[in-house]
Amino acid sequence: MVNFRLVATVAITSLIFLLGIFFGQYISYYHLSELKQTQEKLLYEMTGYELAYSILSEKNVCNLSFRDFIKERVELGQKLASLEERFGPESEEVKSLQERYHLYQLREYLFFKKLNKKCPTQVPLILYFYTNDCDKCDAQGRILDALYARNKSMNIYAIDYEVDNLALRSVKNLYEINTTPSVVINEKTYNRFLSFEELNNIYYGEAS
Amino acid sequence: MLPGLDFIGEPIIYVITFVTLLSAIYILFLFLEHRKNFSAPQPKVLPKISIIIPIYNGVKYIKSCLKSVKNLDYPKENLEIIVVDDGSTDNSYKEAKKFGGVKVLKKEHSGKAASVNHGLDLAKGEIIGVLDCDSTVERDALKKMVGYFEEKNVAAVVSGRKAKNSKGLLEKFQEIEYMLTLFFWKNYSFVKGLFITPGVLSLYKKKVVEKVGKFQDNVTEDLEIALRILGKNYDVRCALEASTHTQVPHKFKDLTRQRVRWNYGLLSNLKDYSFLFSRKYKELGLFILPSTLLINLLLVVFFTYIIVTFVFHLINNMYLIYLTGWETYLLNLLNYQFKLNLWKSEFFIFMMITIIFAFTLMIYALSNLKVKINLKTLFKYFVYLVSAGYLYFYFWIMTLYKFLRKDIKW
Repeated sequence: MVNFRLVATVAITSLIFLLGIFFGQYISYYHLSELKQTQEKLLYEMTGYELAYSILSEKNVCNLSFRDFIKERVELGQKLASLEERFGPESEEVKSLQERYHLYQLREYLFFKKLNKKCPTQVPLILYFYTNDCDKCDAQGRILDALYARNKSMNIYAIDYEVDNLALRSVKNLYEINTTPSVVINEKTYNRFLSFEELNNIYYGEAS
Repeated sequence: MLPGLDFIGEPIIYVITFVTLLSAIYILFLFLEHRKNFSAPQPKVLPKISIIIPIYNGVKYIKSCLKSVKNLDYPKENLEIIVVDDGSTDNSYKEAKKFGGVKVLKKEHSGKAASVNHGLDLAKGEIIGVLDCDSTVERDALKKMVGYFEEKNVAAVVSGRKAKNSKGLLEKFQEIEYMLTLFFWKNYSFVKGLFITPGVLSLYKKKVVEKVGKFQDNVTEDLEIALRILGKNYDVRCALEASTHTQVPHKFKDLTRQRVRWNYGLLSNLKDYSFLFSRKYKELGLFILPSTLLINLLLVVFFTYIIVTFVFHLINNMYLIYLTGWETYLLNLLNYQFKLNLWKSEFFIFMMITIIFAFTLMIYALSNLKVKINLKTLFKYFVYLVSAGYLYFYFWIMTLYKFLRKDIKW
């Protein structure tokens, strides 16, 4: 003797749950594809700038404003971080997007290095290596954010140490990165956690 | 840094949302199906009723209690009032005797159940009522309750118990709680699922009480006898419109003691009556009793998880502050951009839907309990819903503590 009311209750609740799960998955994948599109767009813009660098004279390139471009790249990084939270760091899609994102960061880093050689105004460049499960990395990231908050003229690139890619391996070798957190400030490597005071001293000590 | 407990937290939250949604939809179904049956049936006959009022050191409230009972709109020749003094050390006996028009018995202190049974032996009515000495009844209460007995299988009728109006925060909390509980009980009563007959005026058919056995000395004898009645396949109804008011604990310590006693009573009685958890007892056994237990269990699990996570969070943050320094930590908090986080968007959807159902249920409850629905009321009930969980969790922790100490004095 099956009670209709109970069955209907369980059925409706289960239906709502299933619908919710499907809807949630749909939204997640929608944002994933949106992110991929944004990355493509960024790639074109980056290529555009590099091309401009080659074509135009040095003076003109130094006058170009890269602020919007950098802002968009930073937003991309944040969206990627929230996707990582949603799908988990082990997800294949997220991993491949992460890898691509890191390559953009490196490309941008090299671009600004070239710019610094040719242009009078220097952009301070900081490379920051982290892993997802290292104790002090979160703290180091926050300290770097605080540094940036005081002086927004610098570019900070956060690289996940564990992403495996030829370019990233080369960078790690070049700067002799063997631990996390590690920071490279204007070409000088610091293979340890830097407190806020230390970082300040190094950074402002370096500024010429 | 301590690990996050998200992998435990996620399934817990899903299960809780599922069970809550399940319960809300079930009650909603019950309500929608029976919404036309909410008013009390007109009694064709007015049988003889004996109201038993056990009293133990209740001199403060007995006068207003007796006054309200005397004021009942019911033929005097069919209403018998018996006060049983359970060996009070104050002037309860004297005050009751002074009142006149009521029979007053005195006995040695032996507990509420024994007192009621003592009165039962003397009672001449075919319907027995039990009324706590700190409660009052409305004039029309009996006439709104008696009609239910005309259905053959009905053995007990519960009144519309409300908390006495008071200014304190704790009392207001209980006021809301009693209202919502009453609505649930009314709905349960449609499917033989009302499993408690609180001592604030519940009526019983004398013949049935003598058949299933009189009141037993139990931590919560009002729960025990109702379970016994349901176990013998009788029915318990709810006279929502028969208003009665009872005193509720003012001090937090007293409230805790009361709730720990109720919790303990619930667990031990459900254990004794575990045979009720079967298909034989239809919705009572398949849903109402299991969901009552399950929701309390989930409550404890969920809040334990929240507290543990909070402590972990705190420790992690302290470590962070140690590494980064105060300035950096605060700076980061200020600069935190609100990410439109799509984290677990399906969970967000479940939450929203559950809230919508619960809200609908609450609106139905309030309108049927004749509570004015305005912004102030909604706010009060919202505050209750948000804070109740923490309080009940605390009471369960104290219950566990008392149990572990093997402290069985009440």
